Amino acid sequence: MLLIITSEQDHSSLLVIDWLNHIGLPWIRINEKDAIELSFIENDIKFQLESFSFLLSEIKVVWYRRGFLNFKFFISKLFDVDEFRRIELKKLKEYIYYKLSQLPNINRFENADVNKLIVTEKASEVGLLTPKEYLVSNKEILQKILTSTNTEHATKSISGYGTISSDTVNYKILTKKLDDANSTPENFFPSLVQEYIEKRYELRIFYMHGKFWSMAIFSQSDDTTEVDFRNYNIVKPNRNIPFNVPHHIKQKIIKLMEKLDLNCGSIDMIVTPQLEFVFLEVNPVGQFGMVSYPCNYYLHREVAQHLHTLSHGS
Amino acid sequence: MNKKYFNLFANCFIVKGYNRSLIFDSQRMKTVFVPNDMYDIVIKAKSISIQQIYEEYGIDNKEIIDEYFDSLIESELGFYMSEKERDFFPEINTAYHSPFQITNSVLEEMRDMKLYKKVISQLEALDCQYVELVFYNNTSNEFLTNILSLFKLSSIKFIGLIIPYDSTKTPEFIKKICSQNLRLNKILVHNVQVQEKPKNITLGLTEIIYVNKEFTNFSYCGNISKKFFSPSLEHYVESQNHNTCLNQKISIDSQGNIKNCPAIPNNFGNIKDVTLTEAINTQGYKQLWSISKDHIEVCKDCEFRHICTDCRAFTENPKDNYSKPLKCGYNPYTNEWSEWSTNPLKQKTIEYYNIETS
Ligand code: SF4
Ligand code: SF4
Repeated sequence: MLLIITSEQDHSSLLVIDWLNHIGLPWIRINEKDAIELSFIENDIKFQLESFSFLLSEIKVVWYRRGFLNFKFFISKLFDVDEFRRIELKKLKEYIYYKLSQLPNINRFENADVNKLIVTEKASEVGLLTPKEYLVSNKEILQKILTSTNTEHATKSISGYGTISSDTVNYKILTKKLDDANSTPENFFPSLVQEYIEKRYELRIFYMHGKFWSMAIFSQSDDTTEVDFRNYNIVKPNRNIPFNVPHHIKQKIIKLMEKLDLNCGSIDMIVTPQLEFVFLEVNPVGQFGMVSYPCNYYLHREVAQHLHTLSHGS
Repeated sequence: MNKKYFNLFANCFIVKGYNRSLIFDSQRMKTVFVPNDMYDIVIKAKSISIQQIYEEYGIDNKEIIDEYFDSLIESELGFYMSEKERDFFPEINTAYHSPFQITNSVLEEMRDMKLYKKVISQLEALDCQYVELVFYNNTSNEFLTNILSLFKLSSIKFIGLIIPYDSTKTPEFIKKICSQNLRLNKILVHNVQVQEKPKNITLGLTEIIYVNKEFTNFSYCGNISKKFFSPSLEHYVESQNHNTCLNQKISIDSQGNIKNCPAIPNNFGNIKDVTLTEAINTQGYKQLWSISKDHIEVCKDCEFRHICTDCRAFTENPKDNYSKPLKCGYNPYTNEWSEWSTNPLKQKTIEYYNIETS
């Protein structure tokens, strides 16, 4: 039995499930919002959901797509007891995720939330080119960076989060070109400043257990998409076509994924006009449909087939 | 960037016809005609450099060759690349895969509620995604509401409805069934014999179409027209080795007979006696699924063949599975469109099929 951990709205899960049914691999899907009650029976753990239950021992393979497991436990009203239980609970959850991660899997909850700053360091350790990055919180230093070279700079979020919402407004966080430091205060919240890389095209790479499916995005012909591809251009969409990543770059990406202990993820890169490959980021829970459809890669089928193989390999 | 090689973007496809070629951009859903000379050069450019093309065509032709490439660059259908980049850009893999046994179905004049229940569960067993319900005779609003509600808990994702007009089919009623049935993605109302024909509109995800003509049998179907062309990647990929109308389709005609299409005589048993799964696994059922345009007479020489729809029920030669669709007015040898229904050469076949053309 395959366990899928995902969120209710995730469309990719649905499409993978169509293929799982076709292949005949039995599956259980748990969405983030589904409350799970655990009970411990001898050497096994029972997961009780609203309309069904299963034993940990029935699970042979796990696909961690996104989200988390929503455990429900009895919590007493007494504060100090509560505090104690919360800590106990944390360890208990850790243990369940650990047990699941011992099974053959595509991605694991524990590794899904990557830290961009650490990833960039590790990427350059394996020999991938990465854009020069600075963490800045002071105007003078920012000014120095901006004037020290001829290259342009941009600022982007450290967490990779795309939106801030409050009751009244939604802000979309996009990568923004930095011209000067004039409008910044003396000291400000630590921000990521990145050297702007001139691109011939961008790459979106879907990586799974050593295999690559890549797409090039030609976006230069139009100004509006130059800095951030999330500023979609509807009239003239970027050109998305299949791409073969050269062998030596693949080797480095595999090394990086091993270092990060990730077996699956979406990787963003830039290819410069000099044909250098610059690594930007990796997202273990990224949408792969946007690479799959334009290139006719059938990635949902690939994921299902791989889960099937994993379930037999053990 | 040096301009040693030229490459058409992999999602722009060039299709050679008898007199001219068509490039269709599956991403931007656009098409352009180009001369067949250009087709040959674009294909050559996949394996040799631009310099080698000059040499092959003679340096006198350099200007025209440059013009060809520049025009493709200008319309953003391709790009120049360096030697090193040649290995970077593969063609799109055109394999077609579907997790479903049946993707679409037609139920003709089906009125028995019990039968619906049985058929829906049999369609679910085949993973059917789309059901088209076709009615020629009067359908009361209550009846329609009832059958639509039978689909509510099913795994069928989309429903198309073809019904005759009557005065109770008011915009309010149409709106109501759309909002109650999010699966409805098409409603076609025929026989609209009123002075002011309502306008075609899209309500949410439902396309609503009104036509004057009365449909009395399935011969309303099978028209080939520019407006049905589909320059999408999905269609292109399926069209490589499959019939884009009949692949993964199942129909039950007004008599309960299971067929590829209600208008195709071959009968694979009656729903009273056999299940849909049994029917599609009967020898011969899937034979028409793999008749692609590349095998069809005339179509195989047509530059539209990978964006065009097809029809196997009404063909110029009813005895031949590989004959051109009867209801196509295009001639790829002259590149002219004309009205098919008045073509004197087609009259006998039109009579044979008993198609009302006026
Ligand atoms: S074969 Fe022809 S008549 Fe039958 S469904 Fe297809 S287009 Fe319509
Ligand atoms: S000849 Fe007619 S039916 Fe055949 S591909 Fe061309 S337009 Fe379509």
